Amino acid sequence: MTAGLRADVAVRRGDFHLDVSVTLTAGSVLAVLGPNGSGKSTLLNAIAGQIRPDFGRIEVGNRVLSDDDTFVAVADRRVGLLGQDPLLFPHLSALENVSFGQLARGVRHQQARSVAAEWLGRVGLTGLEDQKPASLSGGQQQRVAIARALAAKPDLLLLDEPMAALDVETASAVRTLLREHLAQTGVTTIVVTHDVADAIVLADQVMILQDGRIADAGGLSELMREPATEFTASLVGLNLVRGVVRADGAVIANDGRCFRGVGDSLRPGAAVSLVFPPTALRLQHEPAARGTANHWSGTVAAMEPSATGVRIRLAGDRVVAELPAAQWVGAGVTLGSSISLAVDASDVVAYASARSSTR
Amino acid sequence: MTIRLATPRFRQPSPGAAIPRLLVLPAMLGLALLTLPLLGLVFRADWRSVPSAITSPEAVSALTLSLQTGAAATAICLLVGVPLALLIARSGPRLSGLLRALTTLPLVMPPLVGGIALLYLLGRSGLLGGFLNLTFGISIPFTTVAVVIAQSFVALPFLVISVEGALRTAGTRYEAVAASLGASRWMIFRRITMPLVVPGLVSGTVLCFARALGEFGATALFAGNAAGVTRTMPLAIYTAFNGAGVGQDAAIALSLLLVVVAIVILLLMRSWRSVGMPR
Repeated sequence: MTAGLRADVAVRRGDFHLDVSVTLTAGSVLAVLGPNGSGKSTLLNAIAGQIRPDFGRIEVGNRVLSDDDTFVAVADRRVGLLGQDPLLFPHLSALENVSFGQLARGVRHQQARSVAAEWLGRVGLTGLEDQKPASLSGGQQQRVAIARALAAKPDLLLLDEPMAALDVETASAVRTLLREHLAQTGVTTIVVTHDVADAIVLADQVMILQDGRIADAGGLSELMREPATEFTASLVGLNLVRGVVRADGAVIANDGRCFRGVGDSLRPGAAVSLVFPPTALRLQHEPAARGTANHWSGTVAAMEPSATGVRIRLAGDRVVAELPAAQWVGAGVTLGSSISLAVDASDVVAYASARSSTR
Repeated sequence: MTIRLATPRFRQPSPGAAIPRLLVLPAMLGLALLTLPLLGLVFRADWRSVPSAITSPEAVSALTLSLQTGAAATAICLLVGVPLALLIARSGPRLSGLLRALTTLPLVMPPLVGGIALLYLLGRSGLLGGFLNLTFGISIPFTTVAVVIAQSFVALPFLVISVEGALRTAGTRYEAVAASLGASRWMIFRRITMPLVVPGLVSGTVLCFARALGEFGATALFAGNAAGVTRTMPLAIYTAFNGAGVGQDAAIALSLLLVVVAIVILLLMRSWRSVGMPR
């Protein structure tokens, strides 16, 4: 059984306002990303029924879970919830944990147990049925929690940073497992995460929340190609600069820098976004002359090691440059050094800023 | 793996966590205050007369009555105390504060005062007792039922406080998960809430039973001191002690018996904890 989701959620908590609309077709997986305090967890809690929205309407399939007059109790929502803490019932065995949802729905004991055993098999834990949670590893616990959530056959599954507490290797294995079972069961899913890997592996749609509002939304490839916000751009590892196209086709960025790039939307007067990867930037020896396109100078304000060299940010600039180790060691670049950076026009992709940035 | 277990475990203190030496002396004095009187009792006992004293019909009758009324009072406390603890633990901060204050009142009140209060509530001319007497011809004071009520009155706070603390520690996160899996409130209570507080429930029950066994003041005033009906162990000890000089040996013997019963209860609880608890 799968069902779509239509949710308009408004929550007021003092200064914080959450206003979000989500529509999901049955079986789709939405990743919700955003900085801390953007309202991701509040959105999940509202849909799960842990908090009551101040305004709005939440529908799963053709059932209204919440509106001005209705507030369906958590137990009757058929909305599964899985967080970073597996929260397995400590006094019950793995099998009893997984069969809990079946028993809660009135399934007979024998059948609930066999369904649970089957689920434990599907998540690769056959043989551990009688283990108490305390004797399982963190990854095994999260697998049991996944089996428990899915065995209850929810119409909608909410995942709140399900891999955040796991080490990298275990997280990767659990992520793959989740992907497999979300596809198999076809359960409509929202996954809240700060890890873009979760979005890439699990989701077919992405929503970026910022300050309680949708800052960006769409298909993952669309977002990765043409991010509408700095946050989205940094998530997918791109620099984003906004500006207006000059008569000669150059783009004057909001901070005054001049860029040349490629793209169909470079028509004079158009508001455009420019993206380029940090690795496209090169260290220049001669300082930039004022107004030179794709070339600027500044002092190094931040430096941190990266996989291949060093990531650098200039003072007063959000653009990140990733330079190969050999380049910056040779140039003697340190914090406070004055340097010049350049990027090839062919690496700068321009697109119209007006794309469905907000709804 | 990096997931922390949600259940708190008791930890051995680390060797480095030493206390200031200055505090060892008062600690020892406190321990002496608690244990030396028992030693006094043991040394003062006339051991030749102990067997006859504790097997005398009066002693057996008092012990039997104590165990029966104590068990009945504990059962009543469990029936009403667990729901009360749940109500306190799951109420908002103001209501739970009020409820907790009301619950602990008998704990800080002298039991004698409790006895008088019970008498004026349930006595023949009391608020509720008058009604019971007129309507049903029931009179509670100076009956075995009165003993059980008095014991429940003084013992209930011990159970409620203990269970409420355990409920608070357990929190509501597991209950929220159970609800998201479709469990009804009743199923959550039976399958999740109660099993999680079993240790607190057991220690609360033991404390409650022990307090009921030792109850004297409220019983004496509300239930009196009728042999075989309301004369529980503490009252039997008091009676023997206040009797002729020969009675004091009996009082000591009975006191020892009560101490032994208490120790047995504590040992049973400890062994149950080490065997019955999941790791």
